[in-house]
Amino acid sequence: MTAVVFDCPCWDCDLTDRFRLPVAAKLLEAAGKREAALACRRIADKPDRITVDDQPWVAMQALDAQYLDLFFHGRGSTQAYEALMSSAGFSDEQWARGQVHAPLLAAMYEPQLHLMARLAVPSLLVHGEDDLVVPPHIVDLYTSQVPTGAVHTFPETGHFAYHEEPDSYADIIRRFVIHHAH
Amino acid sequence: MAAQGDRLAEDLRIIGVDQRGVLRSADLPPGTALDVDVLIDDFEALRTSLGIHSWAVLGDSAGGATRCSTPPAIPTP
Repeated sequence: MTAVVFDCPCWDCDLTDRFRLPVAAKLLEAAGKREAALACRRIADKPDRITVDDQPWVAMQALDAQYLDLFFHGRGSTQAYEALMSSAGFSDEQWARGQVHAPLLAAMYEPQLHLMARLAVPSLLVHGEDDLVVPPHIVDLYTSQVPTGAVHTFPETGHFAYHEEPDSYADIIRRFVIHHAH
Repeated sequence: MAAQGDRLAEDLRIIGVDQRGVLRSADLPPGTALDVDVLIDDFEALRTSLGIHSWAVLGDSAGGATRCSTPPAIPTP
């Protein structure tokens, strides 16, 4: 491997959800869903690590259609998500096959940032300014553990910069890969 | 791939992978254990079978955590 690009990586869903759940709780409170908001805050405030057994996504999905707002910049999230999914050209049946990967969810709650110190190839972290999966302190952890690691933050994007800012995204990825090809 | 494949393919060779059991890949064999190591082995087997000496790897979201070895992979000359 000559280089690696981490695009909004789930390096530690405990850290991600401690950042993301309070945001979801605020949206739930604004929608009058106090019990669901409380459930989000209860998980976020756990003294022990958040694990897959806490099912934080279930608590956040009480947002219903607003749940998608957690992944996109600004309004129009539902339309943006539908456009993203339909652009891939897969059927509902093909998307549903993803359920067989549910056993991999547990690994997403295991910390992996400590592996960064062993990274032996050039790396680039790209993320959206509004992406809740990679909050600022995860970016800081990456830069502290990978002194040569590059970071690019796409303004006004969420979790899907490749869809929300496709030309800018392609330019950044292309330049990084070509620079490190050998 | 739908959003970026054609854009990036103007300058790079792009390989997008449907991981085992999902989208257009074959069903998981009955009783197959599925973990990150299995997926990493799949990518390495793919690289070898395509005769690719070196590649750059882009991992998105959950893929960005698959121990630095997830699709789409971008072979380099």
